[in-house]
Amino acid sequence: MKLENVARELADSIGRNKVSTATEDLICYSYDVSTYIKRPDIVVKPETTEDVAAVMKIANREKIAVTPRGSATNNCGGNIPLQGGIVIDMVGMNKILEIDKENLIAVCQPGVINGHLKAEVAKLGFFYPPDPQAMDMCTIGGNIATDAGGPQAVKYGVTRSYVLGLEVVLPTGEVLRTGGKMIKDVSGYNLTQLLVGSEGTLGIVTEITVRLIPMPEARRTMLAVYDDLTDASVAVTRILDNKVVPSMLELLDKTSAVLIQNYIDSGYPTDAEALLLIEVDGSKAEVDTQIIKVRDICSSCGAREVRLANTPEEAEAIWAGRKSGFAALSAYKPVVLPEDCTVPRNKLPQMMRKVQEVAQKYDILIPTFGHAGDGNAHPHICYDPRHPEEIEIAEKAIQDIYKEAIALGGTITGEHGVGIVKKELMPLQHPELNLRLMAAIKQIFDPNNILNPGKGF
Amino acid sequence: MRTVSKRLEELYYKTDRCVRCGRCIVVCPTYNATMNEAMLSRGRIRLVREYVEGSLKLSERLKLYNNLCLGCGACVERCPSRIDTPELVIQMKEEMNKQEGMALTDSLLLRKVMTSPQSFRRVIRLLSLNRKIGVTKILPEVLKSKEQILPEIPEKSFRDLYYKNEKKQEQTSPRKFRVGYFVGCLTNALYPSLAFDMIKVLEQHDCEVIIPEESVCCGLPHQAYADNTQALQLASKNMQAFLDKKVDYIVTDCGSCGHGLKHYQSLDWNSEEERLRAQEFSSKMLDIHQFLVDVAGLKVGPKPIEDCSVTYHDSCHLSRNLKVKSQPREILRSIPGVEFKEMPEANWCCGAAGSYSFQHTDISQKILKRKMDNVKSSGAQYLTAGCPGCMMQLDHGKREFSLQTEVLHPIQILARTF
Repeated sequence: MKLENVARELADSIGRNKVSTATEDLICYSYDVSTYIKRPDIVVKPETTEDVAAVMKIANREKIAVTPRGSATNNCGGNIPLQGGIVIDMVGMNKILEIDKENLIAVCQPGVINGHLKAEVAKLGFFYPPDPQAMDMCTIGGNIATDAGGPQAVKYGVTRSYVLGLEVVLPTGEVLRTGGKMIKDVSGYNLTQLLVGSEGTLGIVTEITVRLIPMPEARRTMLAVYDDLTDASVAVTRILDNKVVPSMLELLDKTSAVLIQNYIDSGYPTDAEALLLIEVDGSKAEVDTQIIKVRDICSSCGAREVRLANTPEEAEAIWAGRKSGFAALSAYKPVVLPEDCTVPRNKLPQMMRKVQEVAQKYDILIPTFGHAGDGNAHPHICYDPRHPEEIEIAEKAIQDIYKEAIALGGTITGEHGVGIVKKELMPLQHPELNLRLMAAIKQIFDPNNILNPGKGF
Repeated sequence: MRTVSKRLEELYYKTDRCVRCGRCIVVCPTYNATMNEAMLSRGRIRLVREYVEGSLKLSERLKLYNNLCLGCGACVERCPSRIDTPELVIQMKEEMNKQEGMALTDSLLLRKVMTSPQSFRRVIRLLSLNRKIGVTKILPEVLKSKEQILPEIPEKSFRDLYYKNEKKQEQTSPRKFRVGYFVGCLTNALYPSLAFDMIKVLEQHDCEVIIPEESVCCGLPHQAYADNTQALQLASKNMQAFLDKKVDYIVTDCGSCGHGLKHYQSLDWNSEEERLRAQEFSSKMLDIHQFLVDVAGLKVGPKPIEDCSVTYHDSCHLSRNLKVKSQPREILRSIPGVEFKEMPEANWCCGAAGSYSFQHTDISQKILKRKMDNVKSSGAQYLTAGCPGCMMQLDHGKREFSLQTEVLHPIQILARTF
């Protein structure tokens, strides 16, 4: 069937106003945060699970590629319709369906913004911890697809740790329900957890059930300044050795501190080799003891200065810089690739040193900050696409960094996903057997390979 | 690449720095009302890029999407690379005018109606007459919804009252400041009592108030529709009207007029002499709140006012373009008896955006609803805004969504103390 006929059938089946083939609309759904751009042939904007199922049934019958999309803040090309076809925009399904106070559970649609869910549950004294840096704009559906995480992963884990149940439309158009409001459930394979992090290649999430926890009573923030990157890395492991699990434990290298400080005055010293940003949370008494303990450890590891935030405003000022990290780098170069290597926590100093070596080798700036507490470093490769030689160097630097990450027993991506960008790196990390199993699973879910094809592996 | 104006080309290269991070999602009113990427700065930037690169034609849909930007500027503050999407949108409008000429209705409106407060007033008055004889009742639904945006129209405009019916009192003793008051089209036609309150408050602040009869429309609509010739003509007339009177300051009660007047210095002047004059004019231009708080020193009158709660809506032009945010709040907070209540998202656009509410009523209504929900949640009795354009829209919102809140300008509350 011709594509225009498919578009007509889609319009007849879910409603004319939910389907577009106008060039201008196709252009607006041709990108995400990666550098890839490719126009789809049709954009659909479903409002119900039935809409999504109807779209998938038609697409599956006609063997047309479907790419799911939320706020398109993916930086690995996960939202790019590589083969054209249909982009299915889920942001219209954006209702919080239920906040169940008795079971500490929230049920929502995939288009709900992460920060919005956080704010709504906070009104009732609950906490939904997964905190990707794009939380003000990224959707819960997208978070499920990429198993998104953020600074608080060190204490609270990532999206996966909170998802209890899903409603998913399969590539065939069948509607699958997994899990539910149960905290425990060991009957059969855990399909919920298989779907979390599957990057929209196995199904399209239409409803999500997540676990909430009580909001911690208090939090304290501090900033530790180091003249030696290794000292800072040692402090990270020492803090955790001493049985303190901070709610955030972030490391910034000198290059990023300088670029951030140029962008927004966060009070970061620009002559230090490394900064540690630490937050502890819990009951008020607990927090006061812990922050002192952390401060002493930081000092004993060679911090030249330790700053304790005494008010929420002071704390906010310290975090404002870190939160502007990506923005600050974007202001430095037009293209910023946030690399995402994650290594066992104690290997982080080696990883950071390697990044510095690579930067020296190619004579470029690689500002690096990341979630030191969980071994997740984000070396940022920055370049100007109008200078082809910069792109070439960037590609070499990326290869060097990931080879080291794998050698240290790490992964090519801790929280961003594989998408298009890391596809070629997959065999570097995974043995052939693993890849074969993944392909077999994909085949069962999506026999015609129509859902987000060309992504992942 | 197409050949486009130098300014558009310049802006195009700046959009190299759009990393598509989507931070504009958080603040873009049109995106949040429609959930359509083409209604988001990120989408608009992409469309302009493809147009300039030649892979997209100047289609009706492109024009519509471009023109659906409110120009509120919320995205500029939020954008890591500070990409000026509103300016990009205006440059695209100019490109459209160049390629296809200005739409007839726009051109009529800009060249015949929106030229002086009184010609604008005549059209408004006509509508008011039609209302009385019931013509508006038989309008088709589409037009009816637009007509309802306008508030009740006063019998006489400010100019009718000020120049014709009232004898202006001669100043007896010299005052500290000689202030030119720019009375915009909306204040003149819809809010004459605001203008009289302005005069009262200025006089209480030791000002001699000059209101040149020759002043015309500020030209902001023309700037926004990229009608440069007309914008320059209007600016010249206003510059002459005020600078010839040797005023120390030029004040206005309208955030939008204020922005338009301030922008004179950046218009595309033909001579250095004119540009310098524009610079002089713009440097003397202050928003009324700014003038009272930062220059004259705020005075509050002795008359007690009944205890009331007041909230404040930030006009986009006033808060983002003129950076006047704290002064109106300071004025309200300093009035005894007023309890100031900050509403959530006070700087979220109300959807008025000049003629936007008339042209794109459906989207404007959705944006307005969000604003009125926030007003409601503040629980305030009075809703104030430093721009008659916003006031008109908010007053419409009050009627449309059945709120008890009364819409006023902060200066009107201050005037009650004198």
